[in-house]
Amino acid sequence: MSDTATPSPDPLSQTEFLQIRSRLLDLAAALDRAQRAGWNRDRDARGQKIAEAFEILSDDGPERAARIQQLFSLAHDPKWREIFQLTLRTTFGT
Amino acid sequence: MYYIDPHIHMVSRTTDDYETLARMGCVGMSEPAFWAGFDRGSVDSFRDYFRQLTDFERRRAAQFGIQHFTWLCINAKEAENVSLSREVLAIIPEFLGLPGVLGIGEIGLNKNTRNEATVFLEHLELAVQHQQQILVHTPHLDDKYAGTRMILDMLCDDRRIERHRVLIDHVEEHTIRPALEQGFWAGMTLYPLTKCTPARAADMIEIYGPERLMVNSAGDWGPSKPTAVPDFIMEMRRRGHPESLIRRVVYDNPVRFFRQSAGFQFHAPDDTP
Repeated sequence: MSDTATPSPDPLSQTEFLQIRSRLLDLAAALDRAQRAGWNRDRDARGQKIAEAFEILSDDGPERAARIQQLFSLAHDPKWREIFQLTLRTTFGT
Repeated sequence: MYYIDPHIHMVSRTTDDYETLARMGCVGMSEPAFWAGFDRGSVDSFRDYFRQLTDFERRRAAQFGIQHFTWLCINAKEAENVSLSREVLAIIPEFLGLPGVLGIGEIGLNKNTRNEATVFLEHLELAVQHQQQILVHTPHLDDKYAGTRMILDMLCDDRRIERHRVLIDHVEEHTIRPALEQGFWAGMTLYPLTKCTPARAADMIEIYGPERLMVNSAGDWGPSKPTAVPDFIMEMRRRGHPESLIRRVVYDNPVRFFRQSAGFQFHAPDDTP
């Protein structure tokens, strides 16, 4: 990590702020469009995910992007190999 | 700045794209075998595709001074058909010794099924038997996390796999850490809508550093941008990162990873900045 450079000395530049503002407006407008088209957030599982994502955005914890990625991910089952009954090198050339 | 796109599907792109990429500094690229947008009907379709990858695209790229390399496999989506996959696996060794062939890829998972995992393991066996490098496709969207974990489980289970010769591609914020921590290389794919943007890729370079990390466009027949790597370069410059760091990610790292393959006979431009 020695080559890692420090980002801009201004932690939140005006350009970055305007991009955040613009993307928030895009999000708001997209939700408004869906609502005008009759979308009911509470009756759609995706709506619940979106609401949870907004909670992550508004908290002050780290790694928001990773947490939102995780929110929209299916869970990993550590026992998948047992479920699939797969073992290494059992299939090739047999 | 010269750069290498380590993952791009030029069979789906025009000759104009080659010219544009050359003008933007692209001097090398690697093209993994992938899904054509439809399921192919027979092993002969794959034989023709492998000829296209190892011969025609190589010549088409050379017209613009771009060195073209490739990876061979049956992709994760068509791997659902295990019997066809086994026919394709059987013909791959015919091509492995050809100039520009870097290894087996892009293998991986799509919907994380038993059949896909079976064919993935058989590809690993083929790679081990022929001492090939491996390029791994990780699934899309909500399947990515679980699929990446399954892939890492399978790779780490096999002690014969040399992790420094394996690239885990399409990593994002929730999958980059396990890939790097396990000793693999990782690639970030820059797509307009899914996968990763240039800004988020730059974020991950800032967080994890440049070691064993690359960026690629994965330009193909869908919504994608073959000039995405130059976009990443511009984003890094905008943030004030040194040219040496940027070059390490977009040029030095691909060279370092690919040169582990006998098929990587790369001629560096004389005046690489």
